[in-house]
Amino acid sequence: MDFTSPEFWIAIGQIIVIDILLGGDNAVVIALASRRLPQAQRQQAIFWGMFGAVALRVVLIFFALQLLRVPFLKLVGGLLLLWIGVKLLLPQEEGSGHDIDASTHLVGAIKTIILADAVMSLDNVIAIAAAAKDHVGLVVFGLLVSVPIIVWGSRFVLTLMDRFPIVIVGGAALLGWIAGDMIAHDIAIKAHVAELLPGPWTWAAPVAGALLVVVIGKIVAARRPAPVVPAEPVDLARRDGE
Amino acid sequence: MLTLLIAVDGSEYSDRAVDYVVRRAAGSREPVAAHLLNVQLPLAGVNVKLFISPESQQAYHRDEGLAILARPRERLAQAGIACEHHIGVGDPGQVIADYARSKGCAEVVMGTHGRGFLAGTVLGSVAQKVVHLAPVPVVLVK
Repeated sequence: MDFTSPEFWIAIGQIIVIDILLGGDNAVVIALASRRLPQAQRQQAIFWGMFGAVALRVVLIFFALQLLRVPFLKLVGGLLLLWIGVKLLLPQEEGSGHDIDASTHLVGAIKTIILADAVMSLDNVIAIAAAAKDHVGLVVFGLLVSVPIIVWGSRFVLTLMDRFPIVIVGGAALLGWIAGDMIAHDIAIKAHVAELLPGPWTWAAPVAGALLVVVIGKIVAARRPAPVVPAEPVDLARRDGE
Repeated sequence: MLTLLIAVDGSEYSDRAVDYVVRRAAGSREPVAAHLLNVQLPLAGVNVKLFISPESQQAYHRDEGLAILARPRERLAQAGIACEHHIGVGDPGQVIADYARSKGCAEVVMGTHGRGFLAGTVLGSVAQKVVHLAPVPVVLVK
């Protein structure tokens, strides 16, 4: 893959979309964890939280590139991406999600943020590694793009997802696509896949991945009861009788 | 009683919308009452869905909303304008129009060209959507 090949530019596009999708709300999580701190410390916690988010991505991608050469780990990474893609399509269940502890101490908040950063970086890193297909330049590009998105992107990303819900479906399909591709390229099963899917059929794995994510996501979402639409618009200012 | 819905987002443009209401109330024979509304964007990303409970998300929206509403509330109180404040979550254009309807407001007043220049240019403005959806006249303050 070099600058002139279409694959290179497709990978660039994929990486940008992945970074927007998986990094855009990192800042929101950081803001959430630090919201009980006094103003000055809050700035500090947000800075170190973002620094941690970027640093962890750099460290994790280094390990990811090594580990993905181990048999079956691409398979595991691909399955993880499939799951994340499906998760993206589902409405959130009541009572789900861990509670981010909005600590009142700087150290406590930073601890929470670093922990959340680690988990949030992981999916981003695996997805970048998968889309970059071991091309180190593309990996570095993926990391560079994720920095401004983490630091400044959250409002833009939330607006984008609000205005164009299709971005979410498209993003989920993209995650499925690169997941399928990554699974097919696992060292342990690569040879069998090449035998099973000769020539142009190599496209079958990513296409199947994309379809799988969208179909499963749609089916599961349809089975969940529709959220009750209140007659009055939601008003969070009214919650504790203020 | 003239009841206005003022939609604010913390930008200087929405401050000007509040100023406009204050000026208008001063020159109006009919007493003016206001509903102040801030609309928070839903947190749609994967990380938020995976790691943060809906309760924490609401607490976050509430904190952010109250912070944005603080200055306009003070300004209206100084001017002696009766005001209720609200924090909505969702598509801003839609939520503002819903509030205008459910609170029976005579007009919507809002700033335009607010914060989020990039998002505004790429995605079109909230004001446009409110004009389209609201059942009452919309005053856009620049």
